[in-house]
Amino acid sequence: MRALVWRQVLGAARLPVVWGAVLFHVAALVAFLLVWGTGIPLADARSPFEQFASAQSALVLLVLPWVVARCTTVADRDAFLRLAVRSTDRPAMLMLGAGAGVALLAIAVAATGLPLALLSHQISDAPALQLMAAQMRTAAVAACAATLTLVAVSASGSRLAGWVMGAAAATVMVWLVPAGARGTVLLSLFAAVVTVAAAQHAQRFWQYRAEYRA
Amino acid sequence: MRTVSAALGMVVLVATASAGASLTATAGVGGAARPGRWTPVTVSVANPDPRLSGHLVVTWGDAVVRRRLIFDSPGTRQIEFYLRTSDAADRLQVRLEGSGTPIEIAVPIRIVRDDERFDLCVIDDASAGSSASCTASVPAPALPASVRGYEAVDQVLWPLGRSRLRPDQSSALRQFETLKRLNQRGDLSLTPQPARPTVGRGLPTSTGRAVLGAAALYLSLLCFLAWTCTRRARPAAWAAIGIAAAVAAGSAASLAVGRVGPARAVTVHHQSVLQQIPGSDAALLSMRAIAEFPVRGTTALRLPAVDGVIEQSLSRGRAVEELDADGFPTLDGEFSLGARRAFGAEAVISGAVLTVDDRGTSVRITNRSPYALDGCQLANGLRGAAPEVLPPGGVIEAARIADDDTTSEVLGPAVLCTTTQPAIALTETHRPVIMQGTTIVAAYMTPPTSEALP
Repeated sequence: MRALVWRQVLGAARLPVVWGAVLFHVAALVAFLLVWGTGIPLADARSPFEQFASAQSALVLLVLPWVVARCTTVADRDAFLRLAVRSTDRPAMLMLGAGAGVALLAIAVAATGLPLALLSHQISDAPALQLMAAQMRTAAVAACAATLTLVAVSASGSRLAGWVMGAAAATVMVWLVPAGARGTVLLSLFAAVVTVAAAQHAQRFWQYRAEYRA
Repeated sequence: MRTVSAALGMVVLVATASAGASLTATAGVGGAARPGRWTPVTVSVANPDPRLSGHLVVTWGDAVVRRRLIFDSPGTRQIEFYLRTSDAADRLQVRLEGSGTPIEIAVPIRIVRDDERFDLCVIDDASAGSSASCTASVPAPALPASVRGYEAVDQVLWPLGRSRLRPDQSSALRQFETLKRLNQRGDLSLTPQPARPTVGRGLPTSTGRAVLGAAALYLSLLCFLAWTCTRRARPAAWAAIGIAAAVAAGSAASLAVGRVGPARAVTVHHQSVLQQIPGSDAALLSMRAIAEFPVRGTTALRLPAVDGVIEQSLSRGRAVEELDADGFPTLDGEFSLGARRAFGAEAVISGAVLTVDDRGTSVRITNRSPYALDGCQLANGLRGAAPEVLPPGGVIEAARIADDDTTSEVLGPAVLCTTTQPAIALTETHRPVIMQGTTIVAAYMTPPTSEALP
């Protein structure tokens, strides 16, 4: 299982698209800090750090579904089958590994915003607990967006359609889930449940295909 | 009746804590004060304990003065405060906040209306009588030591003859009389007032540069990591360790913003007016400023002038002054990275920038400061060539404009010059302070003493 997760992460780490997304994400956060670091005019009801945290979540929702759609291996169903046959792993395990891998990758990409969040946190003079809570929520949003996109790509068999569906579903999900620690837990649980459900579905759906192809 | 009420105002209230220090206080000049004018409050703290650390807080209407107080040995200390409030009540509160139970006393003060004259009579001691024309009476040793203490007073009378004064009292009284004459001539009202400096929205420039520097360093690390991961075959853990190291380095750079390098300085944007008091070495400084703090944490800006004040406007119109243990005005508190705080400062400072030598038909103006002055303008009534830049030691020779055998009146400041040098630089214990802005220096002709006070 660990090898499957690492395979997904390390495969993605060699793709320029992932690094492009990381650099875009960080550069956009820097620009946000420089332009609206002390708060967006007409949005003074929320503190600058809350505005930054919202911007970070929005960026994650914008960037990560595309990264996941580009780097996941589940879009190519034949390749997925061949991998299952060669590795003698069950499709469910392969899907679980892919889900955990993209979630880990997404959290790593989201974590690159931490230095900028630290700056915003100092600008706002917010409590340390608020920084931790905001970063955990961003990580949960990233994991949720990644797993939903993985499932969408897997179900549609198309990276483009998967990206659109995954991004839309993740956005709706983040919008529906309340703010705060409860929302973070809900998003994390949702990401885990989606991955497990996708694995179960893959087990039922791919098992016979694998045998048939073999 | 006035004398009786003044005497009531001079009542000294005493409060003693069950164990420890005791307070006595007097308020006003001779127990009287005007709304919106500086009012002296003298507090005496007697401390029998070997050590006392706390704050002395004086509250009058919506004005609060808070001074740090430290006693390293038993003793008595007399402290003079100056407050002003438009919400003047007939008593003010003095409170000693220490480690034990706070001590609070209420001090009565008589309010003199704006349409009422305030004639202050100086008497030999408190027991001596005074004329019925006195609004308030004060013994000579209790006269204010700062010109600010006379702001409410129209006239100082000596019904029993002039007494000897301490040098600081004598100097303050002379300055008051000169300023009163300047005010009656209308010179002070013709002097420009400092405007609040304008700063753009967003992060302060120095903080923005520091953030950009830290971000550039972080982005460079990520670019290097991206290049090594995508172009070269690296061990499996390279990317994971690299990301963790880059995030750690970026976080360290973020935490270093405002703590190292040139961005660690507090920047004060100011507009100041320095009004020189003719015939003395002193000047009145009025400053409106915005301080930009470079780092999250406690910062204490200090105005190095004991006879001065830093006023902060808080919500609901409250004005708060803070003084440190040495009596210097401070602006301290917990500030966030790039925070801005607007404040006003006033002080009586020594040192003449310009001297105006009135020679009858001609006037000689000399720059006595060590820095160049720009854009000097002569008053109406004076004719002369004011240079674009007046260097240190530079002189402007001007002549009074003569008309039909009479020389014209010089109204307002005889000369107004501008400089980017601050008249007084604020300080901070742990970091440098950069003063940015302009100071207008106003120098007046010495008002003729023949113009008697009404």
